[in-house]
Amino acid sequence: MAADALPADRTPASAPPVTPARILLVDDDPLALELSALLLEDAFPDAALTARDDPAAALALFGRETFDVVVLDFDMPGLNGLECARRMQAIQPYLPIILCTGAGDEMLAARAMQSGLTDYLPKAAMSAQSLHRAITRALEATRQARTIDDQRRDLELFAHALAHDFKQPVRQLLTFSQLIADEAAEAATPELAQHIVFLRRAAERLGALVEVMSQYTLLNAAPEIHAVDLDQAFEAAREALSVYIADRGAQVTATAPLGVVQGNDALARQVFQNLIHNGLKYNESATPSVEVSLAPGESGPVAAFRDNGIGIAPEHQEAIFQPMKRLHSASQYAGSGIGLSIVRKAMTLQGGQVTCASTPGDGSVFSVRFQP
Amino acid sequence: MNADAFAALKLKFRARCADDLAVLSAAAPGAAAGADLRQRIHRLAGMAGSLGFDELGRMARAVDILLQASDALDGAEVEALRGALVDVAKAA
Repeated sequence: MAADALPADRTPASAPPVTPARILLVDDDPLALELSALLLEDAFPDAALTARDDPAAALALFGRETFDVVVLDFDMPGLNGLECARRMQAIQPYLPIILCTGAGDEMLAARAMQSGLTDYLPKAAMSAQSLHRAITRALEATRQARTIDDQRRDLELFAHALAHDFKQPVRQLLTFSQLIADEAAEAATPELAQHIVFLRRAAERLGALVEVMSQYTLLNAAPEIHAVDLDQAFEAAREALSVYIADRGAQVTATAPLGVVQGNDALARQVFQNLIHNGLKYNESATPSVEVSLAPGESGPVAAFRDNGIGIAPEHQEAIFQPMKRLHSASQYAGSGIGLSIVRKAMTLQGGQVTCASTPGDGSVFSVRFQP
Repeated sequence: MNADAFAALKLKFRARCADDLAVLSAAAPGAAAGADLRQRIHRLAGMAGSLGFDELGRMARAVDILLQASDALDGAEVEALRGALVDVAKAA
């Protein structure tokens, strides 16, 4: 996908009106329906009001008509308000729905909000003013939710562009800087040779940044959860890092067998690779080491990654999981500053979490909890 | 607010209150409230206040909540609701 094609690939969301033009009112009680209609006409005199005393008849309107907001009774025979709302929003996403509740239905408020309903209104407190307030607030909340979703989609498209479109020019930069270095090897002045080295290093850093940024931003979809063999994840990570481990003269060990947990294989391997690499990178020991173990925990099995690295001060032990957060300069320790952010995101997606315990100068232990 | 429509709606509501009172009075003290009576009380609780019948709305809400915990139609709250219904219905 070409970067300049991005805007054509999405349909811009039209912002909902500040006041509703079309209101659907649903209540099985004819008198309550009449009362709500009067109050709504008072609250929004210019709106077109459609009233139905049967939830099935109201649902049948969807597909043929669209509404800016629905005012819906909860307690209706045959189809309660929550289910009716769910079906309406399945046909018309981003539909603001105000659920009208009766006495003793306070618990419904929480369920309504969890179900994606925009708001609720106790019937006993219903007035033109309360309806106006609730509907205006619902329209604004819906507009904001739409904006956030649009921005998230934009970010995902940008991540796809990073993943697919940016990598090729970076590869070309690397290739041609190498060609220039080879061709100019004999004739280049020391300054030119040095400049070519700087150019190549900059291209390599750019390539690494593009890679991790696309990994991080594409890490959003809910993964399939299944049995994950952590011994296999460990071996895969060690194999992927074999050159680096050899270069550092490091030891990477596991208290075998680690065992099986519930998670996602690809994400677990990424977590293992990033944590082992992190433990070896920030490490000044003569023989850098990372030891991995697995133990049962109260909320699920916990894999511990213990290193003999430089350690992390307590005030930084949470900040290190933030994207692009670096505690050291790039000249001290190369890297993107996003490896641990990927670990946290990957664990959250698997229903687990990651924490850090460390003493500066005495190594760190990263604890990765999987779901029970 | 359309004053004529609102006044007409209040008249209909008062008429329904008379029906509600008849159903409530026919129920034996201490007997379980049937589905019809439960629905009538629930609807009263929902709309009486919005029509300006605050006292009736409060009484109906109290009984509505009681009926969610117990089936029995008894107690001072039911008597208070009956009285409030009489007051609203007599103008129908």
